[in-house]
Amino acid sequence: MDEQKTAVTPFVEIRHVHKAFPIQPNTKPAPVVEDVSILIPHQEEGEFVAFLGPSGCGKSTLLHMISGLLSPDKGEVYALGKQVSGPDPQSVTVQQAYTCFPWLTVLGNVEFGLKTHGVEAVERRKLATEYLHKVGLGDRLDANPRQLSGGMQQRVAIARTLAMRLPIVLMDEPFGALDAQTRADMQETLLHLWQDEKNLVVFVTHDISEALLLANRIIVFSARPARIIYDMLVPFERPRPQSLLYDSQFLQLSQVLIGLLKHSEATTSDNTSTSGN
Amino acid sequence: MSNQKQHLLGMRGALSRRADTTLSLLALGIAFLVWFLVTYEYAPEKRLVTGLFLPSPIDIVHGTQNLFRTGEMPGAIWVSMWRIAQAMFYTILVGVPVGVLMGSVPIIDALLRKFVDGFKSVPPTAFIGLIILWFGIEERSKTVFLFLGAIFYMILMTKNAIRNVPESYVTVATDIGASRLQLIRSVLLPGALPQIWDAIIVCSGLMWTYIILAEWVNASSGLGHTISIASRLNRSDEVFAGVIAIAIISASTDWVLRAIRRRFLNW
Ligand SMILES: Nc1ncnc2c1ncn2[C@@H]1O[C@H](COP(=O)(O)OP(=O)(O)OP(=O)(O)O)[C@@H](O)[C@H]1O
Ligand SMILES: [Mg+2]
Repeated sequence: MDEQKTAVTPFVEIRHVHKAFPIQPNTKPAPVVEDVSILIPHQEEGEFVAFLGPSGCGKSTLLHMISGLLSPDKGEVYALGKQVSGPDPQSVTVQQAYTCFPWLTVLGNVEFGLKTHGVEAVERRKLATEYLHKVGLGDRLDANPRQLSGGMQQRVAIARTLAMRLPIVLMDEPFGALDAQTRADMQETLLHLWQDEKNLVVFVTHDISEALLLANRIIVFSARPARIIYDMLVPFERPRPQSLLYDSQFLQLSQVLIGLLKHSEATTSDNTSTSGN
Repeated sequence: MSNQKQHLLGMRGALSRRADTTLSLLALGIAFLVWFLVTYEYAPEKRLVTGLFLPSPIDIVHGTQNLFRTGEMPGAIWVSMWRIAQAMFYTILVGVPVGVLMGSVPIIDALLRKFVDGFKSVPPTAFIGLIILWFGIEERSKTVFLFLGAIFYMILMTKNAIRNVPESYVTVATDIGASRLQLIRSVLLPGALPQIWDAIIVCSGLMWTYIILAEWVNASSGLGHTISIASRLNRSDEVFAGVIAIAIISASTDWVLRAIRRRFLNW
């Protein structure tokens, strides 16, 4: 199996990536992402990776470098073997903030993504309708996004992203605003869609249980600047029922991850004191 | 004391809605009463202020009736509205594209900014001589005058509207793969549309204040012309009638445009 992996171009390869930002205005840039390398090999059945890390550590920044919205100061990012330089047409992101366009209907928002990729009008409508049904908004096609709750708006954004059916889907805390039940439903929907699509999903979250329920692999980052402190393969078979939350191995792994996150927060002050460039 | 309800003599903040309405209507009522009393003709030719200096409300009603009976007023209203509509058409036609381009493409902004900022500070009356030289005293010069009075505001406000479109919309569209053209046409322009509409409202108001100037000299029609003739003939009642007509039309245009904004452009 290892030989097969290396024979195919990996989904994503991140090589020694660095990124610095002036954290306060008019200060020297401080490192936000520091020497991060990740190899995500291609998998026939698709791959699901979770990024876990404390708030403000640089997860969104790293995600933006994979999508090509930001370019690294140092290092390279490859998506499906091609170096990323500028917004990458092979990947698309569900952003952390609500990002529906208020001047379009719900359906129009989902169609917009397909339009930029040159999908024909009829096909566009069909796909957009299909994916809105999948996220449970089939009865709100003509609604204005501002008439929807925050969680529903986020589902529109998710439908817009998934309807494009790209090989790389990046999701930045997509379910953060949802209530527990909707969240569980959306997790299930996402897994179904992913298993059909067999693509790569990179999923940023604060939520340890969510990472364990969804991902094949969890990468844990330190507090700012983000460095990889742990790379875990999740051992659970699929499908993973919600009852897994009470499984003893699940709880053990949760404890490990909680410990890692605690540790990473504790080292924050060390990191910032040595982060002057 | 309490921060829930403002004390009547508190500083800043809002009065209760009822106190606010009562006070503003009271002020209006008192002004009207004083006006009525000082211009009331309690005996023939006997009033505190002459009709030439300040016509009474009744004089103005008569003046208005007179202007409508002769057909002067409806014609003048129509002509002025038509001039403003034309000037507005060109202001939007030029101002919106230029403003959108300045707001979205830094190179264009750098090239044009100094001109727009410079001309904005020149009162349009300063152009009157040139306008007459270039466009004559015909119909066209009126439209050009109104256009010059509004265009630079239109450009600047459109540019700011584009700048105020949330960055997150641009980020999402870029990530989805929108081209630069798609970004301008399908994200920046619709995102800025409510504020561009506000700019149109402001410019419409501006034009209704400039219309008197535009039609004062060398015009043979329009509300400005009506007022100018009436003032030359010492017909204060008709001057006021014309001014009130302008105020009413301008305010109702404003009201209609704002209603459209609230109903259709509310993001
Ligand atoms: N464009 C930018 N300019 C300046 N600083 C930035 C910029 N983008 C991010 N930062 C800083 O980089 C750090 C990491 O930001 P990032 O958004 O990547 O964190 P995050 O891990 O996604 O946090 P959260 O979980 O809260 O979303 C933060 O301190 C943030 O202030
Ligand atoms: Mg983030």
